[in-house]
Amino acid sequence: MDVTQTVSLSKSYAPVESKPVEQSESKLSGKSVESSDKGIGRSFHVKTGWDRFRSRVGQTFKRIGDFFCKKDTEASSRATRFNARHEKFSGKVENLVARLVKGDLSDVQDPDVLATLRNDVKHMHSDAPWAGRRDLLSTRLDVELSKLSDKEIDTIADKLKTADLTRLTDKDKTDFTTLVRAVARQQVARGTEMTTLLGKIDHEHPSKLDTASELLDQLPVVEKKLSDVLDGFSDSLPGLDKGKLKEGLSDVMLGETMSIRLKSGDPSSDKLPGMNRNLLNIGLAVRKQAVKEGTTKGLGYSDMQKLNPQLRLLSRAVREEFLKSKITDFTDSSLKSRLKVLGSGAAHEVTKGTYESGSRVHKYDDETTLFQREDGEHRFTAPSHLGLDQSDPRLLERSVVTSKYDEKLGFDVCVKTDFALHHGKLGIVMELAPGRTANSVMGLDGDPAIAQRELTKLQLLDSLTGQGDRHRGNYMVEYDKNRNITGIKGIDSDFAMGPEPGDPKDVVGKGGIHLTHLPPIVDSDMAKAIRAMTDEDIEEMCGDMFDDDTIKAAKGRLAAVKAHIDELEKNGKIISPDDWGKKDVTETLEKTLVEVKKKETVEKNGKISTLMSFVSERTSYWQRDHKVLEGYHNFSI
Amino acid sequence: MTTTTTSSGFESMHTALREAAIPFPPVPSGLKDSLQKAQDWLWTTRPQFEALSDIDSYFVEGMVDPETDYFMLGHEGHGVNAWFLYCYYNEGPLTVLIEAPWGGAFTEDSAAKEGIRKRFDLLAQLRDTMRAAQAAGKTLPGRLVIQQSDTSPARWAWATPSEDEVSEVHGDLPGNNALTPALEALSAL
Repeated sequence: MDVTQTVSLSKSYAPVESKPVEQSESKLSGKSVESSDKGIGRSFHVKTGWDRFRSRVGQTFKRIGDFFCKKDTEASSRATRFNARHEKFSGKVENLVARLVKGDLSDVQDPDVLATLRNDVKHMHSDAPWAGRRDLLSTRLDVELSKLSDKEIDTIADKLKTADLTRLTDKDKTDFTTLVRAVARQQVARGTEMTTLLGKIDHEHPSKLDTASELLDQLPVVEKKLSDVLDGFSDSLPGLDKGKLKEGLSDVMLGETMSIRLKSGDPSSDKLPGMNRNLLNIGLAVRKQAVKEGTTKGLGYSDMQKLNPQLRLLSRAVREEFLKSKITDFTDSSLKSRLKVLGSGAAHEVTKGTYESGSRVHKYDDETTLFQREDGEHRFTAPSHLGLDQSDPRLLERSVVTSKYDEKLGFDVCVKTDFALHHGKLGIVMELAPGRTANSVMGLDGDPAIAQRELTKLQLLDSLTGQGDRHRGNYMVEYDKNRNITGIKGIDSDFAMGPEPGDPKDVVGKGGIHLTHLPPIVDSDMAKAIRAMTDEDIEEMCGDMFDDDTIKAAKGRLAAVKAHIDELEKNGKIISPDDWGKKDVTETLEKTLVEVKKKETVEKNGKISTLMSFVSERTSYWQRDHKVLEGYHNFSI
Repeated sequence: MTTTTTSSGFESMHTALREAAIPFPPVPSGLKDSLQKAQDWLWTTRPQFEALSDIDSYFVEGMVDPETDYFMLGHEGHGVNAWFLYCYYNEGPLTVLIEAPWGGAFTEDSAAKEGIRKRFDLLAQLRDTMRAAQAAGKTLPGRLVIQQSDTSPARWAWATPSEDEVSEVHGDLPGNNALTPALEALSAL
């Protein structure tokens, strides 16, 4: 069954006729009762025995269907309730704003009106827990206020400062504060300070950073403006809690203010790609400067969140609008099922949904890959080696571009991945790959030919994208009843496409990196596909989703892989696609290792300790994994 | 961050594992009371520690700058399927670092739990064998440090005090299994 989806919190509705907010609704057992002037409109006809039989059979099938689709039915019911309530709620907010424009403060000074809105929010949140209570009112206010002229916004701001809060409870004041903050965001989003800021983002020449310092100087000006506007409200309305009024000013609120301006259509959407890249380039320059000054251990440890949080907010706001403009196929309106949670254990949200084009795995964007604990901040090691900014990791783009590489090369070893937008939040959807993850299978000791070929393709793809995280849990293995591997599909390709390394070998063997050295043998089809790939292809695939250094590193990796293929050709190691699985090929894959003297360090209480050891590093995924796949692992899952 | 009393740390770990139907790992007997729930799905007796996913740094630490006895168990990961259960056991001259796949969107739950059970069984055997070796007064070649990673190469070594020399670390192991050969080496003493 198709499952009804909830509407976006910022959905546009037809204007409603202005009337006071209803302070109470007709209720029966907690549900709204809607009157009708049409009366009972059913028509009756005498049922025959056949009609009754058909009805009984139909109801039986419906009950069976409902049993198996109970959760879907419940989800549809909740979404239907939410949508109906949201439309009514939006109408109430629209009316409230309309009266504010006329200078009428009666609604916002009336505890009953605010309580009614709160009641709506409570019920909507109950039916759609993903929608935060504060977001429901706040987003709606943003939508309605955005329709107004600058003059009307200023009129509302002036009028609100004269409001009489004496009748309001603490809860009412919280809602009033939400309104004030929404108005303040509008004022700053439309202000000259914001216009000046956005004017410094050279969307036409994103690689030229001439105006970078002016932009960086303007960021605190915008934040100060927001602070000043809120102070103005606070001074006029001493009954409001100043802390709540300015909560998250330098963080969430500033980001929301920037988003409001970007959503307004000024600057126009065609400028977003260049703005995105420009801000990434400026951010990269800031991070590199920190490395140069020795304030961080390396690029992968320089986080924009610390270096310039305002720039990070602006950059993420632009990125969000830019990526949203690319999404057409995977949205709430194309979703036909619930998003069903996959996985278990600590909180993480990966879901499976059915779209018009089939089932997909969905994952929301990660705002950060840093995590806080009482003992401090922690980070993943692999992305640090790739130079990623873990405070703004942009993993969605990395997964999507990996899929594009795979398509361009014609390898077909990676699940097709696209951007998605659900509940107003960015994410990705991945094709459902057949088979099981490589760490879930064993006993696949049949003909190794396809495994060798497909794993080599996956390895080459990962070498080109600088993928650091291709462990056995991150590719699927398809196999037949004769225990032959028949297909390989990479999943979860997000730790890739960093500004480092420019040569894949530079990260091999580093902590948390699962990439091996380049393969000792490839086939002629692979060589042809890689030789056909150009720097221009990389530019095209990356679009404006990455900074210049990331694109430069991608070109460097392509050159390194091409050089490796030339070397293999000289040594007669480019084989026919039919040669995989032959004894000499298997031996070459099995025996080629790179011997290194490995130095590992650990820092504890300011003391650095070193471990030196001789290590044989792998040169192919097949060499790394085939024994486990074949079943020599004593506890393979 | 959730702060719990010392006894409830052990109990809450027990409850979480039971509810998730995951086998219970061996815990150093002297550390049960000091086990704290540091956050959702993370229990530790160490106040300071790196991300569990940085298993290599725990191995290096065990080799060159060993911590006093500790125990940690947690579930960490990222993305769609890179989710692992970590169990770090450090008692006397034995350090065992286990990373086992579990909880990813594509990871088969029952197979993952069976894999965890096998790893914990080997950990228990290592603990018992080490205790027996010590009780028998056997001379150990060094501290026994084992990294049973699912994502990084598995490895094990007898750690000797010298830091400047190149250590003999056994890697490139059949089936990426370090627990079994380490247990065999310990049993052979």
